[in-house]
Amino acid sequence: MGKRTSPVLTEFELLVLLAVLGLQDAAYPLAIGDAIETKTKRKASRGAVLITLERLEDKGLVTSWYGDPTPVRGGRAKRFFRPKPGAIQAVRASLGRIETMTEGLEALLGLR
Amino acid sequence: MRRPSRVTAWLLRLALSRHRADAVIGDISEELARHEKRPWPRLWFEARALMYLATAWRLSGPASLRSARHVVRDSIRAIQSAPGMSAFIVLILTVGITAATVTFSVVDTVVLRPLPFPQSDELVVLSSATSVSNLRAASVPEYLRWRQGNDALSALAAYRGTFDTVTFGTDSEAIQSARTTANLFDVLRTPPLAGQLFTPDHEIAGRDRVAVIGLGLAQRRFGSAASALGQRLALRDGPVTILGVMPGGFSYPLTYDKPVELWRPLVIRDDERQPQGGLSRDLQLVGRLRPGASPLQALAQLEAATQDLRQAFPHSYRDWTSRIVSLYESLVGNVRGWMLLVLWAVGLVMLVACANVANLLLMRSTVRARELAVRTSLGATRRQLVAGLLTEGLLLSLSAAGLAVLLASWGVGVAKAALPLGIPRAEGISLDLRILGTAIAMAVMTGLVFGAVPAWQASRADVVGLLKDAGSNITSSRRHWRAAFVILEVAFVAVLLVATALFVSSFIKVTRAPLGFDRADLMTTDSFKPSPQIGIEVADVLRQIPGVASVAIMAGGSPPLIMRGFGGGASGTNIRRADAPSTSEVLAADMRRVSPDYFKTAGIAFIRGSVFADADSSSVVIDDVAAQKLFAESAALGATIRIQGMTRDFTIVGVVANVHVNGPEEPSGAQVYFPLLSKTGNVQFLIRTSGPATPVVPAVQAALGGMVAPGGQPAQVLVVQEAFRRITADRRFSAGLMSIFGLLALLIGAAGIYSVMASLVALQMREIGLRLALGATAARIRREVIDQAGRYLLTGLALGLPIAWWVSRAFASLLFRVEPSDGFVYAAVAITLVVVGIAAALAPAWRAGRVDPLVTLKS
Repeated sequence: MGKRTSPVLTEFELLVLLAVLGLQDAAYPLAIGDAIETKTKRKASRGAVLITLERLEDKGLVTSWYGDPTPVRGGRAKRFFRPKPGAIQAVRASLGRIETMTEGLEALLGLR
Repeated sequence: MRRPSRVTAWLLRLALSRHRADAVIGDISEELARHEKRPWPRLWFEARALMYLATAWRLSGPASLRSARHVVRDSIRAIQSAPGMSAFIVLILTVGITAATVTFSVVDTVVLRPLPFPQSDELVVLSSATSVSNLRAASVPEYLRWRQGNDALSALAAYRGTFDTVTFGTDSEAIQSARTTANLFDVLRTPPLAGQLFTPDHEIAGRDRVAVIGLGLAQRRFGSAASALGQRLALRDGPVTILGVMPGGFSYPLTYDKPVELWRPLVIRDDERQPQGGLSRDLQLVGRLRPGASPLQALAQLEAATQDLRQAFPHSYRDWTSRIVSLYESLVGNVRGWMLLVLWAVGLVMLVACANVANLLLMRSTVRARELAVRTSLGATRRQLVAGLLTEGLLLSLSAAGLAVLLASWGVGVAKAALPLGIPRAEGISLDLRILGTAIAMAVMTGLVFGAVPAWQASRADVVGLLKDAGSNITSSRRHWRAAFVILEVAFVAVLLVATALFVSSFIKVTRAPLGFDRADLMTTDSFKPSPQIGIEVADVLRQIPGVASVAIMAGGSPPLIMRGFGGGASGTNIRRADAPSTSEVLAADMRRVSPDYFKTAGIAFIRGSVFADADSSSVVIDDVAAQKLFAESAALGATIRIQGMTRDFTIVGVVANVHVNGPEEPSGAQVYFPLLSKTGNVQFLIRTSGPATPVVPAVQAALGGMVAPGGQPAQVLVVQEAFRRITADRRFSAGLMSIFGLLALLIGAAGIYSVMASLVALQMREIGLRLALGATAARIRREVIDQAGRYLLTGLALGLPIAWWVSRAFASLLFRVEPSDGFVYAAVAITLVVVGIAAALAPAWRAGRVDPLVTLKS
């Protein structure tokens, strides 16, 4: 049996997963979308965030649980997401692949 | 706190799970709370939820879509595998939905919908009415008194309906119009769309050259409402200025086949205000009750207000009473009964259709029990089986719905054209989308419920047993269901057939009832002044026309033989016995001045005595109604009567049968006939032909065309049979519709019997084969199938006929000389149903007798 490889992440999946890692126990779709928009200045549709989280859950990278209902949400619970053990490795592998591909292009890309 | 609409919430839960959907709704609520000043928050909320939904479906869609496609594909295959039955189900549903929708659209517009005026339940029609005529009108003095002296009414308007010919350059158009008091629009609470209305100031001769027109006329002739204002309309009696334009859809009076598009001030002349000699009733009145006032209260005040008139003109009130009825009742009272009955009938047809479709679907699932069992044994879940059968039911119902939408939109036009003349509000009839929706929903429900039930049963059944025995052990409960459905169908059909038979026999009785004269092969002309010849010479010319058997002359304006079919004024008078004191009661009678051959030509029979001689100025013929009211049965002949307004007395030389001028269903008043003395002046002709009258009409019309005074209108020729058809049109139409529905229900019911017997035989093939092998004869097997069908029919009849008897008492008032409990009708319905039902069972019975024991036992 070969070594188990980490799932490949798309760019948006990477961003969402990084946001989940950063928000720790406060990661729910609205906060995740806000974090991506604030830090990257790019638009993050809430529907797309939710579906990406579902997909990450399918890939076994995050898990979800329901919090307590709050009045501001019309008495509805938040669905929180928490990274699973494989998440860090998947992020690292994704970033590593990018790093590898950028080697030798630093001057061109103006990274130095 | 905002919530999404139910539909959106439901869709979200369908796409995600319940908890996930709730969390999403919470997210949206929280996002909205952050931006409280967002415009249209509700819309934003919905849009946001739909966006989540769209994303969710886009990302998770393909798999479920693929399985849905498979379900639909399998269902289409299943439908194609039994094309005959599928087509039959679609046909039955289509016919049911179409008939229900078209009928309801008509009945709703004419009868059920409130009148198109604010608080229309306060509107009432006031009139003086007599029990012997259809005249519902009031005289000017009555109107003036009722307007003043009634505090139960907030307003009372008077009008006369008429036609106006409007000329536009070289073009002219006949427009339905009304002369009305200015307050008509107040009574109806309808302001003009543009411009203004005329006022009481315009109701004075000389100031009345103004008009208000309908939006249709304004748009047709001036382009728009605004550009019509201030324009002049060229009418026959001179130009009028357009003051205002009424909103689209406004029309009053509502009794005409065309909408009224022109309203002009009603000018009441001074001589009308001060009556001389008697009251002439030609005004129509509509008023509005004060809130809380009752019609009875208003009626009491009507009677009180005209007390002085009653004393001054007692003969004008003989047989006349004041009447007040709601505007709604006065418009639809005549047609409501039969229209509601027809609606009820079509409802029964729809029920029979649904019961039959349910039966066919049950039967189809029985035939497919083995297939379902195989699928279950291969691992199909109950959900998959149900989804498949539901889709099948849905596809069938939706195909029927699609066809029905097309057919109904065509059918409404046909029904509108076929309606008898004079049905109020008929011009507003259009396809009613609500009822189309309801009928389709009924059809879809039938398809879904009876498609799903067998799947449910099949998935619970013992698969091994099913596979061994092709379904016979799961079908016993379903067989009971099918028997119940077929019995119900027979019962519904029986109820409908009884109603149809009662209606049709009423119609036949109406057409056969004696009218007091012979209406076949008879025509009459309207009143005209011949020139250069006089009446007698014209009659001689007419007698020369081939096909004319006899010709009689009447004075112009004589009442026609059939009143409603022709319109035209009645010329009435008051008569009393010459030997009675002048204060004694008088009798109102229709008066005709006729030539001696009138009675022979009309076919009016003499009960006593005979006709007066030509130019005999002192003799008179009366009808049996007058004879009975004025004299003892036999004492009339030779007695003398005095006629109001005449100086001489007249001797009665003959008594004839009463002519039912209002048709056989309504009474008619006394009639008196005088000899035609004047040889000049306006005349009318009554012409009897030796064969049917219609082919002779052109020749008569051509002959009369050459004998009209200069400037006069040529006389119109009217076939009396046509007039009779017109006054019986409601009955003919309703009897025709009921026959169509009855026949439809009978056919669908027969198909129901056939399908049930056929499926029973198909299921019992093995048993029948075994019995034949053991020595049963084919005749016996066949007889048993027929017996079974007979039992269903008799049970259905035992259920349906008492219901029919109970229901038909409710519409007894719509019947004519037929009792709701007429035994002959019930017997005829029972025999028809049994004969048709047994005929439908013959084919399955024949098939049962031909079962080959060898083949069925081997299979």
